Amino acid sequence: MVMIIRGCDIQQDLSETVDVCVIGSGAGGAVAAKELAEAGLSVIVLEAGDAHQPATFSRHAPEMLHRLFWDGGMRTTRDGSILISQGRGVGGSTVHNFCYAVRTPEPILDKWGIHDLSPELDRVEATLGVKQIDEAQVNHLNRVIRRGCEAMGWRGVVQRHNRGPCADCSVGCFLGCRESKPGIGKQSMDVTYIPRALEAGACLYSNCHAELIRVENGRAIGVVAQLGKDSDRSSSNHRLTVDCQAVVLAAGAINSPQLWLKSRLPDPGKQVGKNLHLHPAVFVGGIFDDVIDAHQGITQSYYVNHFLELERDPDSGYILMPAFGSPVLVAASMPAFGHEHRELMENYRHIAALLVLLHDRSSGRVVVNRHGHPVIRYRLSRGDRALLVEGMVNAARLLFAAGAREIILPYTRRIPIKSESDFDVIRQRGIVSNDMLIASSHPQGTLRMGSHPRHSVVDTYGEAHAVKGLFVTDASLFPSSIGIPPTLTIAALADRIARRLAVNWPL
Amino acid sequence: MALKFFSPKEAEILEILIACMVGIDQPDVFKRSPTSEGQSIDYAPTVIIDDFVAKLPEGLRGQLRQALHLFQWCPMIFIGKPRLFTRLSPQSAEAYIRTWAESRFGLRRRIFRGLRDLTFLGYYSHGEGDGDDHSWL
Ligand SMILES: Cc1cc2nc3c(=O)[nH]c(=O)nc-3n(C[C@H](O)[C@H](O)[C@H](O)COP(=O)(O)OP(=O)(O)OC[C@H]3O[C@@H](n4cnc5c(N)ncnc54)[C@H](O)[C@@H]3O)c2cc1C
Repeated sequence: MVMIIRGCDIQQDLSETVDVCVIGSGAGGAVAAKELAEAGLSVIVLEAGDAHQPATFSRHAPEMLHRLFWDGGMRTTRDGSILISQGRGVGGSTVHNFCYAVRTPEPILDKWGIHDLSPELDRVEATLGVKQIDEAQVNHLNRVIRRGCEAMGWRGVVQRHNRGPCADCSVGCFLGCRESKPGIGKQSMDVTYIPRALEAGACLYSNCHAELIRVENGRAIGVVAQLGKDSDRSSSNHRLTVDCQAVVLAAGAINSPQLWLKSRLPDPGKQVGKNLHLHPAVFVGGIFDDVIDAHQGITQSYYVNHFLELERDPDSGYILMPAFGSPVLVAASMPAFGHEHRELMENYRHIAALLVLLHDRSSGRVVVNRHGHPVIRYRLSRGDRALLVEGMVNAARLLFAAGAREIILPYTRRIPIKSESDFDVIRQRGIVSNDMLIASSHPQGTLRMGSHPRHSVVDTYGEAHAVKGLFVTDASLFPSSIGIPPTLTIAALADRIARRLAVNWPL
Repeated sequence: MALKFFSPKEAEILEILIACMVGIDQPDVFKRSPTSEGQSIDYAPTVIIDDFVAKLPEGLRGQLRQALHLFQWCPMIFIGKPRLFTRLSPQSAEAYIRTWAESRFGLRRRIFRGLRDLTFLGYYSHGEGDGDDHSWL
């Protein structure tokens, strides 16, 4: 029987006994759940957020931010300088992501000591229906960016997506795809891996917030969760206690270390929460004479990877990506306020913008405060600031080459850039925190894998060095910043870890 | 206007703040019933923001309330005008907001950006079409 149980409907304390308890149902958790259930293990998945009904997704950003994101999309680093978007709900961040499906680059795998991930990547691509985007689906925004890239003689590529036939509505990619169902629209985890996990016998509790991982004699033995928490406040206030032989932690790169620390699990190498990478991204816009209508069509199909040369340097570089054009996001990315801001917004339909997405060397740390809430510390290093500035200059050059008549920088004070001779302003001003919107959609690295317990939290098959039977399968695993959209890699690593766990069962 | 989190006084501060940040004279322009299903929803930006903030975690909500009060009470300190923010002339309000926007202190810039972007969320997300509906233009 296919089972999703809404935690907020339950009016009593419950207990369950299973082989494996998976915490989180996003890119890492969904894949682990399916692979383990299909291998014949009894699996329970705990998901803090809602089980979404895509047909009910609205186009009203404030509503959808609450339905799809942690903290209504307002999660930030401790100093408020970087906004971190993290999905909440069945499917996790794959429900609102932009579907770029990029395979893990070889130099990254070499650096991580992973010999070959192709079989896993192939399987994930098949399950998510990954395919090349048709030329006809490349929208005007992406075509303009490509025109600029080609004029500069740079390298860019039309990507592959995990998306079935869809209305190319754009808005739905960020605020949830109404059409999403198996084979149609966005192929996020909630319509691909999760249904298959459930068909194979897994049971999923939505609105069920894992609060504690239980460990006895160095082994993970279960999870305690709060039912009903984080739903639309119809909290049930009851508990679910799970007894199991293995726990798979896949709550995302902020919440996984949070749960580890809250549960006071062993951390002999003092590595838990460290090594946080964010792929910080800044906006550079261009005003064009022709109508761009960046909010129409597939938001991101093309990107410029000319400045990411991983063979030469696997640890730094940046990508230039088309930026999503909803009025709220464009407004928040623009400089100024009042009439000056409004004047810029009047150009809304004529704006094409890029995000400079940094493959960050800088690293931060997730800790917990006395209430057990995550506190995210992160500072951009001098080198990374310089690279972001270089990226902003190159984004501006590309936009001019594509025909922009003015460049809009994201600084609070409006500094119009009318020609390349104005670029020094960017170099002089640099990156000042809380003077521009810096956004992160790819937190990663906080429970890193590696062979040595002094430098990593889990081994290369995801099992904790210090707790037997505790596995990690989400973006926390990454030993270093990956530099590209991470979903396929997370899913492939989860596949690899779950299959190995199933082969070695019973532990 | 039925408020869930802000008091009527705070909503008044918010309304004036929206007008200043967005650059319009009349922040309540979007009171209407815009959904295709014909539901009657109050899309005044202040109501949208109030509803949004009401659903945030307690800590964040508290910070936003404090930020709003600080904004209201500090014109004397930052532009030497012994008046509340809501009683400033449009020119003084703009000069006052600019002192926050361009402050040397990261915390003041953070408050400015937080409030600015919240007002944009309320104003630019009205109606159903976060995209094709450009009636705010
Ligand atoms: C706007 C945006 C666009 C993106 N676009 C792309 C893209 O085009 N291509 C790409 O490859 N990547 C993209 N990403 C990134 C990608 O979606 C994420 O990196 C990926 O989903 C992370 O997988 P994860 O398993 O680590 O975490 P998530 O997918 O975030 O899943 C974690 C899940 O755990 C749940 N959870 C957390 N805490 C608990 C708890 N205590 N108890 C129970 N459940 C809990 C959460 O609610 C969530 O559902 C994008 C991200 C964003 C924000």
